[in-house]
Amino acid sequence: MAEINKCNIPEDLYYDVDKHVWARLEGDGTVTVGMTDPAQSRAGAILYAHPKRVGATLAKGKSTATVESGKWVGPVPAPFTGEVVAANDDLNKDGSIINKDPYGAGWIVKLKPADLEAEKAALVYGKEGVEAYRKKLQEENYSCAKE
Amino acid sequence: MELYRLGEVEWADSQLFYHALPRLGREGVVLCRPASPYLCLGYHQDLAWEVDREYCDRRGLPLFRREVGGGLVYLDRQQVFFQVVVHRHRPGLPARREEFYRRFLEPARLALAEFGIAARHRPPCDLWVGERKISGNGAGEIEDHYVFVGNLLLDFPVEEMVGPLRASAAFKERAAAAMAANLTTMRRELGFTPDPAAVEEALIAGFGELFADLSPAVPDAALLARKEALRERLLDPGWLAEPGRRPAHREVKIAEGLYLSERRVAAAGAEVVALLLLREGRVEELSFEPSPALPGDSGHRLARKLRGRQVEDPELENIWSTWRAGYPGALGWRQLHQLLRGRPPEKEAGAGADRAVGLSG
Repeated sequence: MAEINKCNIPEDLYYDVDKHVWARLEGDGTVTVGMTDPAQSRAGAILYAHPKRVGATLAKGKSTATVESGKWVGPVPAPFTGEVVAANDDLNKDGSIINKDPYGAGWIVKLKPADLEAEKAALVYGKEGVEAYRKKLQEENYSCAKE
Repeated sequence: MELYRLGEVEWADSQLFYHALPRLGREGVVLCRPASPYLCLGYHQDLAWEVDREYCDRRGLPLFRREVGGGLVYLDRQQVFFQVVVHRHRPGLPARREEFYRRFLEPARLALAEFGIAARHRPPCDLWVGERKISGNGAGEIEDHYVFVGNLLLDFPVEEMVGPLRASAAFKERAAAAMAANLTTMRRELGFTPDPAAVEEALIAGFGELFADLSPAVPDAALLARKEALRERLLDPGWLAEPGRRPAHREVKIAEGLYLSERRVAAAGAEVVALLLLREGRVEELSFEPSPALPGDSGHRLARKLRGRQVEDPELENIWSTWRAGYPGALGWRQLHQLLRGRPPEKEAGAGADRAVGLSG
């Protein structure tokens, strides 16, 4: 796990750095998706998150969930086109799970990508992902440290 | 940055333009007022949980669910709306949410200052004058744009705001009183209702400080067409009735840090209903409906002891214990914990005592 400006960025995940989402390839053709640590930090205390229903088909970039914090509602964009095969319904009861554990219990949905290999190429992984995030956070002068 | 100064518009149009702009990939500042009143739900709210639909139908009060955050609001022509749509890659946008809100509330703060009203940013997203809120706001992301929406209250009818709430008469009465005490308006501050056009002029000057390239525009055919296409979707009964967040108890946010809740718990084979006004987690007001679990004046006495205390104060259990000694069989610690903190105690310290006197819950 790399730490950049007090933000945790695991090296074993794929990232869409611009959209602040992570993806973990599960080995069974599915992909787990969530918000990154910088994304949850930026959101602040998350009151509520509403993942898309199982069975929904999403185009890449469309919302896997909407998340509300401090009067702000934002989407968690899908890093792959595909079908939602699992949704983290615990988030309907307690959105703060994402704040506490964005890469674990705070996962959002599991997707079955239509073309995993092709769309995976648009994401960054491992050290490359960490470096891309380092560049972005430094450009934005953003720190996950609580003020 | 295009400025759409729309003046008074059909009620739904006062929401539709800012929803349409990001879908066209366009930035803009929209200033408008609805010609007639309506209720506006936050994105994640649950209509059936929040609103008394029969009340709205009787009054002919329409409803809208916006795609930005915040809670249910009553909107009418005595409010000047400002709505800002910016691309999320616009250079210089603050990454920190609180700073983002501060930046986009600044034109409204400056506009109020033009009228001699000294307002300040109350994080995350309010403008306050003294200890009262004068501007309600919300924000969100639509497509690749950030949307910030707010209003300046020229005047505000608190009775109209609480009327449609799906809540008890006691809750509505208390909510109206709390709003009257904790909200202010330009009329209240100035002693007269300012001309909306003059308020718009002041907002335009403020947004001119924020966007050097602010230039007047009129909605073109593409914007009007997109707005109308969205009307169908955003006024669709299915979208309005979309299930949303159902909090464990009835609650309304009066202003930042100030919440009124109605909480219920089973005790002594009956129900205890508490109305609780919390300011920054501190009990500002507490009252109980008559209940067999609160004999005589015990409820008043307990409320008096708890007023001014933080709900998470560890001393509360001792306060309860002293009170309870005078009223054996009355409300247990477990139930009081649930009423005040909205959850059962982690360690059931008082549970044995409760069971000994046969309390439920």
